[in-house]
Amino acid sequence: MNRVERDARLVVRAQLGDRRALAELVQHWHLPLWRYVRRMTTNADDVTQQAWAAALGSLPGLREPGRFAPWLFTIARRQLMDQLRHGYEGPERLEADIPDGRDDIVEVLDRAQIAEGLDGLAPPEREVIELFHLQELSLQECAQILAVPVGTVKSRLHRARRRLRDLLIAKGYES
Amino acid sequence: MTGSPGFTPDTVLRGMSLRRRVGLVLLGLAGGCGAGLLLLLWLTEPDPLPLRTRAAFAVLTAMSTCWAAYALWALIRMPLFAADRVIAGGLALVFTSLTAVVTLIVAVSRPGAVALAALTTALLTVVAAASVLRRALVRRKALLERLSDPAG
Repeated sequence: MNRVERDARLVVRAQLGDRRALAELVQHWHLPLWRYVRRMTTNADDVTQQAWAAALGSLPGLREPGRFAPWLFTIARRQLMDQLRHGYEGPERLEADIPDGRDDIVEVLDRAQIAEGLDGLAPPEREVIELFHLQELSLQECAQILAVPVGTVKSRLHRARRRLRDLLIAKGYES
Repeated sequence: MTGSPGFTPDTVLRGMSLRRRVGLVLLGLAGGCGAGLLLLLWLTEPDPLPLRTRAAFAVLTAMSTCWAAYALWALIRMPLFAADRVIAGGLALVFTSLTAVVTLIVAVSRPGAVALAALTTALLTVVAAASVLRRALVRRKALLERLSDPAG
């Protein structure tokens, strides 16, 4: 059973009123959600708890249980936006011929190295690397969470990888 | 980046117990139905009541209404899952039916426009409670079917 199927079953069981399923669902996403928020703000505990409160309040009405993860991260992102708004201002440049996969960066950098370099990135780039490479969400799920087209996600990823690579090389990692 | 959250999953789930939610439903129904019956008894009194008795009716009605309002306020702010809704709908049907029976007895013993209006209102609340229960059962059935269907 993959992540989406597991979440879908847990969500439906939780919607039925199964508290163990609800606890299991929270347990699965407790750390990933906190880590995502932590990358973006120093006030991660408050923002994450607010996100959980909003998510659990709306959970009985969630119509697509299989889309729980992007839905949860979207809620968390909404909580974050007030704090990060200035980091998202200005027009965004789209770049052509950007590969979809994770391999080009994963070949060179492991997760710990990616995590180490994230602090040097701008919030939108840090966020997309966190969601795509560290949370391993799909491009479509990232696009839904970030409320931008898939092409914009690819552009951000492309820029973020380049910048991350430069940062890590500057820190002494070999390219 | 290292570190760990300053809260646990249990913190997130605090206040989500079934007992708390059912308790609030009971509080709301008892408060609402109690307030309605007190008001009915007060308004259908055939003779003018002493001032202290009227004051007591007013205070008790206000207290019951406040409890019902508090329960409603708290319930709106917490998730109600399918099982909660079925229990809440069942309790609502029981409470409103009992209130309607008492209202009918009052309406027979103290006939009048007020009693008739109260009986009509009580019957409408029974219909509303039955509708809530029916919708809750339909929703629960749909979720159970979804759970048993791997493709769903």
